Amino acid sequence: MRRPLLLTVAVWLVAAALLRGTFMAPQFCPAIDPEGALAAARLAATWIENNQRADGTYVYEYRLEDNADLGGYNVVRHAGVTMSLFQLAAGRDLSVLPAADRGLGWMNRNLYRNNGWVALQNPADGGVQLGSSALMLAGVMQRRFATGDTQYDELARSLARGLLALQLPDGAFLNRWNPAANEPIPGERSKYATGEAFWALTLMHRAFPAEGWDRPARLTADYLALYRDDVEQQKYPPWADQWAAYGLGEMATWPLEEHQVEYARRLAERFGLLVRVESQRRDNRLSKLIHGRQARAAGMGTWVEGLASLHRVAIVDPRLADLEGKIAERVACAAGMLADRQYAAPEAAKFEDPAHVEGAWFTEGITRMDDQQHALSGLLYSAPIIQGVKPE
Amino acid sequence: MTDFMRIAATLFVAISPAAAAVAAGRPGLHIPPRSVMAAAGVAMAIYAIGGLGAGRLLDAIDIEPETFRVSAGLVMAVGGAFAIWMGTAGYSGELDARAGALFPLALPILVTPAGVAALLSHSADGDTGMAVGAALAVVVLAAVAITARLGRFNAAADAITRMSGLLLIAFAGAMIVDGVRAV
Repeated sequence: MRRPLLLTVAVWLVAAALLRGTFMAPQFCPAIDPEGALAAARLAATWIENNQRADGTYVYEYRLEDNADLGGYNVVRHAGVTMSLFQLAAGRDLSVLPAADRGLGWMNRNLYRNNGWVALQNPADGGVQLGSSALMLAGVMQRRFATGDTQYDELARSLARGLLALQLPDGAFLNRWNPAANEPIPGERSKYATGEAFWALTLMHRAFPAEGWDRPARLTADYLALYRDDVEQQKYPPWADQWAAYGLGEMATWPLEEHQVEYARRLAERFGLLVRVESQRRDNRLSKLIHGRQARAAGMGTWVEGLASLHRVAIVDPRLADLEGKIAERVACAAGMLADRQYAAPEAAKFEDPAHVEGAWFTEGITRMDDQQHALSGLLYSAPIIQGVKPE
Repeated sequence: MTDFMRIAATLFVAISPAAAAVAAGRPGLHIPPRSVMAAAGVAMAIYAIGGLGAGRLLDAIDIEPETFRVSAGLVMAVGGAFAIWMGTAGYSGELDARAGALFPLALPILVTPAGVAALLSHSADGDTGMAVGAALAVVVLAAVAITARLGRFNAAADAITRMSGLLLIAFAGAMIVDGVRAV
């Protein structure tokens, strides 16, 4: 009897070990408190400030190994990084306003003007991309929420009209405007920009509730909830769109329609899965082989941004109330991982140029400015959730 | 289907009284009822302890219940495939009438990997009472099936085992999807 017993036990143990090494690998969520999350967000902002040039642009990519500024630039990401600084300002840290205003100044100097609307234009190639204007508008809105300053209200309206110039009847947006032909470039949609424009329009409705910005926002919300994944042929729907989640968070009190609630639930499930899988990854070869490389901060940050926005929906809307606790758990887990992987001052001091390192996240030795942007935003919005404070 | 029905159905096909009856009901083999009772007692104790300690166990090994669901589903799917293939419980070696209740009657005929995985998953999801209750009931059914010595109904039990395997794979698939889709 002993041999078959040992064989059975051995087979069970091998199977258990295989599972432990793969699907059942331990999940690691470093502890984090609200103060820690805010401090990490502020440190990310410090990297952005330290790596801003006099003209308002930022270091785009930096390699740690040889202290190299890798050059290159992306206007959409410029708008996004600047917007994240304004988010921090709206979170009552006004110390970032000078840097954020320099970033806004660069955008103001690169506006494309059309008949009654404006858009952010890439000075390098003259391109007018939806995402740039949408995130610029979101940044201007955050600035307004932070300061109460109304000097950019007309700019905001012009930018919002520029977004609508690219909106299609089904609620989707085209990704680019062709200045030479003075018309949108047909057929090109962006999996990022539609959500960005949607969120920006919901912010416009918050700032100017009587002006009707909610109508195009609702149209896009329906497109995102019902059609986007099919039309844009997403392989693994729903597309993990934190911008859409931001927009749904804004719409939570409008309130949401049933299919939008269902979409919010699917988004939360997707972000939750991404966080759970990430928490099983380690920074070693075996883990990379089995679970893949650890996500870059830009990716993880978007998951926290998305979850934090959906947490607001779960609190406001009883149809998603069952998700509140789990979303909060995932937010805390991802925020803990982000803070744990950030290069703090003592670590940064070991390198040739600490200003390029402090507050940053590196993937394969390289950081890109949107790593800091998304991590900042995610950490900022995680703090009240970790603290257990309900949003207003 | 109520939660209890769903959990009970899952545990029924995961522990599979029919498979236990087939495994222990080979021609010419007589297992004393006392051994069956002892094996059932051991199995019930293991399932009760597993169910009541599922949350602590997953905490100890740093696994969220939602993540565990995927692994449990995989174990159940393998168990289902084995049942379809073999038409019996997870043991096909010698079965000695004098053998102790622990092996192979309790382990692995009554306490199956699929049964343990399903029990742990449902218990960790907060349905401990229902999961443990259902597991204990199914173990009692399995013990009765073993002592009944099916004889000429063995072929029917074989067919039920294979169908249970099919159902187990379906439940396993649902559990995996549920684990992937959970927040």
